[in-house]
Amino acid sequence: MQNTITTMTAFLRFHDLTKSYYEGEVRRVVLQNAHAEFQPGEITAILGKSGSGKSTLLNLISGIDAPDSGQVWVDGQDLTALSERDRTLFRRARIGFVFQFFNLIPTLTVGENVSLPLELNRIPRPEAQQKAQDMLEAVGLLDRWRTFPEKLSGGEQQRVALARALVHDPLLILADEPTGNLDEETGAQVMSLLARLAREQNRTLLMVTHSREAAAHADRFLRLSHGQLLPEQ
Amino acid sequence: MLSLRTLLRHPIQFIIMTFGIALGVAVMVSIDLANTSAARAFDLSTSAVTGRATHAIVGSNQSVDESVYVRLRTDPQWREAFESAPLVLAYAVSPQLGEVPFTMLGIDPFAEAPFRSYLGGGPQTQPEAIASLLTVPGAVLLSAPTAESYGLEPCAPDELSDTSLADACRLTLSIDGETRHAYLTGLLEPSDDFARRALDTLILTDIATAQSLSGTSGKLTQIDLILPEDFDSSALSAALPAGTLLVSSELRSSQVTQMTAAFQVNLTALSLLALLVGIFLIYNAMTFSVVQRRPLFGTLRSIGYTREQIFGMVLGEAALVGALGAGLGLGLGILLGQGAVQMVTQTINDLFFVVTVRGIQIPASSLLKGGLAGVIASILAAAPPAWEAASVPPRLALSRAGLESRAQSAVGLVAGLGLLAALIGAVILTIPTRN
Repeated sequence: MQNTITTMTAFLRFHDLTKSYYEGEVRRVVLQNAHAEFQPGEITAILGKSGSGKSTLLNLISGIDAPDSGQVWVDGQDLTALSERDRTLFRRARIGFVFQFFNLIPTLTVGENVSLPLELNRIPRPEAQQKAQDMLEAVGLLDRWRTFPEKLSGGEQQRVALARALVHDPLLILADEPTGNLDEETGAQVMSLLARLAREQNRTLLMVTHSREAAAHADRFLRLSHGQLLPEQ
Repeated sequence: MLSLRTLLRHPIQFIIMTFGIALGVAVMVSIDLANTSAARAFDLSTSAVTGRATHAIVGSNQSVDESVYVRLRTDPQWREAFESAPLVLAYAVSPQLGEVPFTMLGIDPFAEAPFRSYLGGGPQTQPEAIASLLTVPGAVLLSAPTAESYGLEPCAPDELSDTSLADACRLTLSIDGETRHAYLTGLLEPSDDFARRALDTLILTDIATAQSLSGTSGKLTQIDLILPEDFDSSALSAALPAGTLLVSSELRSSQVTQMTAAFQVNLTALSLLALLVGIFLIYNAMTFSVVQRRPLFGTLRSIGYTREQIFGMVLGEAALVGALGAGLGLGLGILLGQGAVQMVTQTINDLFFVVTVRGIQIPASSLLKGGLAGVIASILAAAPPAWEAASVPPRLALSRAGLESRAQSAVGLVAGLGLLAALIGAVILTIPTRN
């Protein structure tokens, strides 16, 4: 079964992607022969019920998990052909993550959190600091440079998380329920910001969400149901 | 930075880990210092007594009849064949000498020169002091630094006739439970640090006085010999009367060392047990810390930390704790060593032989050993939790964070239950099991 047409020019594409887990003795198939492709600068929302495999799909696309079968291509690189370590290094350089629970490092200040991906990518400190400051300015939190995350509101924490996800110029941004832990108004603000930054920087954004409001910022919609990825009508 | 901040953010865990390793290192270092100091004191004491003797004639009942020495000095077969010197050895404590066990050495000043240069009329000894040993009954010598440290001054032989003057230099000695009196009539001037430490706990007197003070008239503890390299010792052994035997100084020294070796190994093993407790504390605290931070490790893995980086980060935290704990432990160990050396010395005195340690030796090797053991033990203890941290699947950050947060909220309840269980245990312990 083919859910979408794939082309060799797509920035992100996956093909025949299958993933299953064992729950005790029972094998549960989460994804079954899923296909899709995504163009640079495209914003896509993946919808689906809880437990439908949305997060699993993000894990496979980012190389966090390996599929049972199938291939994932990001910017011409077959992630399934890489070792676990090489997938980690690829993720470090090319992918930005936004998590539902923000996942900021509580022992680092806002500035240090945003600088972390740059340090990991061995960007010289002065340049890293400048880029981190620019990014924080873009999300409106430059004045919180020395603040620890616990002093920030949920919305502010997610804006810092956006800055951390984008600061090292990743080609692909993966967002897992980016507004799932925010109130409606704050969620809308964060989502607008994320979509604006992704468009300004021409990044491919793939977000998993339950929220219709969040999904409204997307260029297209896919629904994950019974292991199948289908275009949302 | 991340490691340091994590440690500072959890001060109780940090203190437990540092304290654990500091305690382990402290006990290890203190025992090592005590052992080293006791061994060094024993070596010095042995050197002071043995001097340049290659062999000694000893008795199976700890004494040799004086006639054996007379025969060696008068028999033409032996008289010119080797040097010999009689020795009477006893242990004495005195209130004027801080009740510290001193070795009392009775010598023949005329025979001593080849054996113990700093005793027998060498350049470090005042001739009048040596002369007083022969002319004044009950005359003894001490090293000048020892006498000074106990505020003692010698009397001139002519002052001893005046009771009021003699009291100032009179020593009350307790030897084998008997109280005796002796007079300090001169001082030995050690020429170097080695001689100073060798003479530190030595009371020197002549044979007759030593026999009188120790109640061993007509008996010698041993006869020291310097045998030429090509000397046939078997002929001498055969000529000795029954109940006496010829032994090499090296063999005697090693026999005594072997006696204490097992005791010192036991102490070292016990000190390592203390380090093991420290390792256990680090292992537990680190495991707890890793479990607590699983979502964090998941996040770090998601944003590009490799397994090796996570492993290194946790080990780095342990190394930091280990270095700090070892540093504290070294200082504490030196302090504990002051007390431990007294206990170790007391046990050696009670079980093996008399040795007096008046100060601990702090060899750099003991400190280096303790410091390295602390850091390496901390790293080894943290290796399993570090591996656990490195193995955290990154997807935990995406799917389990909420679950972990909920689990954390149960920590208070579980801790409360644990406390209750401990309390019940304590109450049960107080219930008498026998009327």
